[in-house]
Amino acid sequence: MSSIPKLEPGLRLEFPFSVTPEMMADFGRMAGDFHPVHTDDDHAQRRGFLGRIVYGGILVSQVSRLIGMELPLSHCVWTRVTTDFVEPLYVNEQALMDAEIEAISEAVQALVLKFRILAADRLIARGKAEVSFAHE
Amino acid sequence: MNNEIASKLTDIFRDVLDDESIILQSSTTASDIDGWDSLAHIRLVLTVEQAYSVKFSAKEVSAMKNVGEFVGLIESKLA
Repeated sequence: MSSIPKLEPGLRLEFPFSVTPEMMADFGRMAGDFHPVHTDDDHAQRRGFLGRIVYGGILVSQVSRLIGMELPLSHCVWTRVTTDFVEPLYVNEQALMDAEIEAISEAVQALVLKFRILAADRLIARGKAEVSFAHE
Repeated sequence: MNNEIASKLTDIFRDVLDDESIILQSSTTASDIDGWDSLAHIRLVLTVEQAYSVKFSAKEVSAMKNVGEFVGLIESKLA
């Protein structure tokens, strides 16, 4: 039986993900953003990309997954996220969410996560998230 | 009020609340500073704990009535 990891600074959390064409279409409809850099490979290539690039909002959605599904907490909400989008991620490209608890305060029941999104040897995005939590 | 801690705490308040005009006095409370709400308070405590490598208890944090007591609490942790 796997044990629940202890919530403490240095705790690493990671998971792989990729963004499919269906996810792109769903997000485009949800956000109302149909900019061709996200929807048209030819347009994106004319702008110097290898193909259409993943919405930044989808990358941020993986921070939501990180907090909601990977943190060993039952009751938590994020209160801030900051993200630098360093390089583009492409549709169907394999990526990795790599995160670490940077600080935790039991006094105010809050923690800081720093995260990186990587694809092969490229840094796609980096940032920090603040999370408020409550114990059972 | 310990001036060195008060000065560093002022820098933290200005950074967290994004307001360079903040001037802290011993008697300053949350009602005196725009933006010092419950969420900002959490962020202030987190930042101070990181900056000084100290840990507070929930009881200590909830008992703080003003900036002077915040400075005093930090000072007690560093002693």
